[in-house]
Amino acid sequence: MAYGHCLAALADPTRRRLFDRLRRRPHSVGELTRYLRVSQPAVSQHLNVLRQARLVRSRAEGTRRLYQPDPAGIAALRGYLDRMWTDVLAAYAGSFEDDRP
Amino acid sequence: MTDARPIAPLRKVVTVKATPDRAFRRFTEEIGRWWPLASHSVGEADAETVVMEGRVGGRIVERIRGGREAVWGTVTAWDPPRRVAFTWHPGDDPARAQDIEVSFTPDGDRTRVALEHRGFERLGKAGPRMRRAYPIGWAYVLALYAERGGLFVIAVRALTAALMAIARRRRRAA
Repeated sequence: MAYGHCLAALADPTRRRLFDRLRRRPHSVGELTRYLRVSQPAVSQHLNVLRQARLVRSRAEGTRRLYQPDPAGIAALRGYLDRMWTDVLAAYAGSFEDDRP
Repeated sequence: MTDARPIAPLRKVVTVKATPDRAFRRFTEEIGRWWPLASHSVGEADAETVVMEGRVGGRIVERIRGGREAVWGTVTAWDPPRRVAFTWHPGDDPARAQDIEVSFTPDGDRTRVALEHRGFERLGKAGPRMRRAYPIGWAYVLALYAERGGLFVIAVRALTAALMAIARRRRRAA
């Protein structure tokens, strides 16, 4: 159920914008603050949620801390797709059970 | 480096109590009879049905209450009763489509249905074009999901965005 956390984290539009921004290149909190036009504490809070969902990770580069997508969360999202197709195909197979012989 | 994690295709197999002909027809023309729209659709509670137009170039389109439509993909291979393939971008921009292929193989008096969801790697290659296309899709999705945030759409979008980032980094590293 790791994907549950990922999807919950991404249910917020601001966090989706933030996550989407990071796919282009790693960003610092300052850059993200200017991009999103919200306060720095708010950006840090959003990053924290994304980090806990393992969608985002950070690394130090000189004196700056840069944020980028974390493959762990991506694996979890892939798990969601896996589960999605399982559910969809189960519904498909089940539809034949309802058929009259 | 964890970025070396393979972006492998997703593969699923199910065996159904039907001939290939019937299994194919049920998956395609009759998709609206069984697709779990309530949980797997763009319109969710407002989704009315989904239709697959049975020809190459045909659309897979969800009809939503109020006369709206959401295109999920376009048929790229139509070979009844053996194989159907289509692009896949529910709630997303077609430029960011992935590929789905479904094959139907006789197995005694049943049919083995194998589904492959692939094209994740491809996402990293069309970078500039996709970047231009992206804001359109994003605005569309935000307008629809500002409040609800449907998982079906969010998961596909988030996965696509993340896989693109990885593919691009890998390409740079190569």
